[in-house]
Amino acid sequence: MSFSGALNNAITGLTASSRLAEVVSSNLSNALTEGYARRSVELTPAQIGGRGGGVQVTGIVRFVDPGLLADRRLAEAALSNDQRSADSLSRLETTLGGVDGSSKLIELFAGFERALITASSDPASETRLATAVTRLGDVAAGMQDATRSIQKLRQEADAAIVADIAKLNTGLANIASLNKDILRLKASGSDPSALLDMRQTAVDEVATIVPLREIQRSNGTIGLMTSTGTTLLDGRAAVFGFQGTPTITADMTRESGALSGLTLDGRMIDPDTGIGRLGGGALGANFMLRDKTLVDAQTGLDDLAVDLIARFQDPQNDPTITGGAAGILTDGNNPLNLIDRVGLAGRISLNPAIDPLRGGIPSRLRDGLYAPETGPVGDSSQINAWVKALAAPRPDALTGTTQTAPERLAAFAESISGLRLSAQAAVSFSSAKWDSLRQAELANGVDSDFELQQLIKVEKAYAANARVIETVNFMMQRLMEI
Amino acid sequence: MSKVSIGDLSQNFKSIRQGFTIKSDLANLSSSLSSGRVTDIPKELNGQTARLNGLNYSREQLDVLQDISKETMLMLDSIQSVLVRVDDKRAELMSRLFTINDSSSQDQVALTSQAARQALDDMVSALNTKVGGRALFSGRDVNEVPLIPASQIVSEIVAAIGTDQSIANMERAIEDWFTGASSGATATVYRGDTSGFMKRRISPDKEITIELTANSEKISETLKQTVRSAVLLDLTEMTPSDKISTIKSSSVSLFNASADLANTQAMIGSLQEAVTTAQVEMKARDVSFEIAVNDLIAADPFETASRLQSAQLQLEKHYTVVARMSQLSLLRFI
Repeated sequence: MSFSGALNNAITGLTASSRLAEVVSSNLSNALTEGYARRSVELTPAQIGGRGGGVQVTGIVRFVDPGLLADRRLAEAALSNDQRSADSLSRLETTLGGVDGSSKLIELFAGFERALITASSDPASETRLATAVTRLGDVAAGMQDATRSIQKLRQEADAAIVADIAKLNTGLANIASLNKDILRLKASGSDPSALLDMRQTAVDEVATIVPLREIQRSNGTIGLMTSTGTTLLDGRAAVFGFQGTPTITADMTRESGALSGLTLDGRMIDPDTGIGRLGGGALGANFMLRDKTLVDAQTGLDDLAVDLIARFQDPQNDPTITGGAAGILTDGNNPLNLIDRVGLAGRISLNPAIDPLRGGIPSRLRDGLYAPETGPVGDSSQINAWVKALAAPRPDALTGTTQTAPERLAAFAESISGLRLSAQAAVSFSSAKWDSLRQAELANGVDSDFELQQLIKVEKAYAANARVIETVNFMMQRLMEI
Repeated sequence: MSKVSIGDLSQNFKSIRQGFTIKSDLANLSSSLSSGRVTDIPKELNGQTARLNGLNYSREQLDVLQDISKETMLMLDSIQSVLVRVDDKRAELMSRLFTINDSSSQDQVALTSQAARQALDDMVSALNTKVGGRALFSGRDVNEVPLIPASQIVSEIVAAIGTDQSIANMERAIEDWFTGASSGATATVYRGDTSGFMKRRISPDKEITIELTANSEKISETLKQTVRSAVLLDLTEMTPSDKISTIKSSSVSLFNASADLANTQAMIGSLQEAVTTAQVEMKARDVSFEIAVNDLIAADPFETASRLQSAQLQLEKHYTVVARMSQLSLLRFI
């Protein structure tokens, strides 16, 4: 008799409906979960022996658009790259900056020139001379501060690399173990959807550090590779190493061996760049900052220091400075040495012979730095010579462009602002791209209206199947009553 | 892209990002309106801040130069008033000396010599004026007064004249003490700077030199002629006729010296004019730089206010939309 067939079909229908309700409730409860892929149930008609056997649940489908996901991950890597640069450069601009678009160094320098011109009006005044010398000392101190700020940012970039590599290693290890778990669950026939969600989130986290591509394997596991070809995970997770340097000074670079690059499974990845082909994400940005961008900023500052020290050491400006002796501004109390230029801005200081804080005599500004005796106290000619020296165009040590001292300072401030502006422009571009991709991805998520409508359908189907069971039961009972 | 459903989070994400954009615009505009300046100056200038910094630097320079030009002006005014005083004393003495003629008595000669001493004293103290602790006529040795006291001048020259009280010897002694020309004379009347003059910067590209000290010939001539009459009181051996002729020639020389002093005053006057012109020029330059700076970075208050208003409206509309959308859910209807 086909009563048992009907009953059987109705029971499969009830099972399928309750499974559907379970999936709907799972979707609704995860409506706010980021990284949760909307589930749906796959139903097919069952076949038993040559006849239909009701409905069967063949699987739970995770709705994910792999192309969109991959694009979004690449956009996110680019965004964290640009964001890291822009943040660091913004901070640099703020520490070096002043009021109304100027920079702190320009303000200090203007204060010095002010004091110098005031001293030229009354050269006999010891107070005015001391003030002028002190202001020049402030300029030197300002350059040392700027050097410290730049090196501090390099230290922060280095520390960020340490953190990124740690995150990368744990992330990859995590994904490898999730791969194993998913393989096991699939082999035993269970539904690995939750683990798939977790693995997707873990890959998302790693994707901000290095831009990567996910490779689906047929057994449900994935491999990971950077978009430029380095394997991150292929059955086994790659292990990256990096030696952090807590204190960084201007002369420490990767080329000099004082700063380290990345190692992969114990081997140096790329001695030339330090990062190999792992650039493009937050890690790439940190390396770029530590090894290129901030180093260039320091070089610009050092060139400024060269210009100032040379101006204050030139016998044409003060004839008493002869034989290559140190001028009013020195390289750590020594004369300028063009070969030892790296980090000069961190060593620039007043000559102790003129610095009142170290027992020097400020009136040497008026008489000449190495003048054997004091001249007429009302003589403003040397002071005026210094004023002219600041406004004289002087060739650059490297490129030979001639600029006055204030022009050089303004050019340096402009270069720092320029770096920040282009970094911010890059951020707004990659941010817009990421925005639209993320939005499209989220649109594939759980829609609670849709799920509720599904629930209505499920209710009806359950009621219909229950009705079938009731009718078959009635038919059987009626038969029994014969 | 699914064709049957749109995720909840998508709408949420979009509205959060939009709200963020509008609110940061609002924050920027309100700070811009309050300060009168654009908030991000390098962005406004497309990264070309060098010109702005150049303008600000020049303005600072002009500011300090304007301050010190007041000091320079004070110094020149003081020099000018000293010259006027010296000239007045010269004229007074000159008219006093004119009263002596061949028939004057010894007493009259003595009184006239006394008057000359008084005049010398006034002139020397005028020339020794210090303004703000700085001497005006010592050249670059501004901490030293230029001339030794008048009584010392007279006594030292009288001692140098000694016993030979002829006119020729008197002239020689006076000359020696003013120029240090004779052998063995190391001390002169003038104690100030002999190798240079005071220089002052009056504009970013101009300097003036005050080529005047108490040792300048135009001033020392007047002093010499005054001294010639002043020493006569102590020259007991000199004949009365010599004394009278000395006085008469001094008076004529003092008359001639007026042209020199007038020239000196004119020279200082032209320096004063140069300073005034420089001051006016610097002020004009400063104003034009200020206008240029404002053109670059000032925020037009009307434009900023209207943009602020539209941002505010935008935010209100956004909030309304968010509130409405949050009510659109199937849950309310089931």
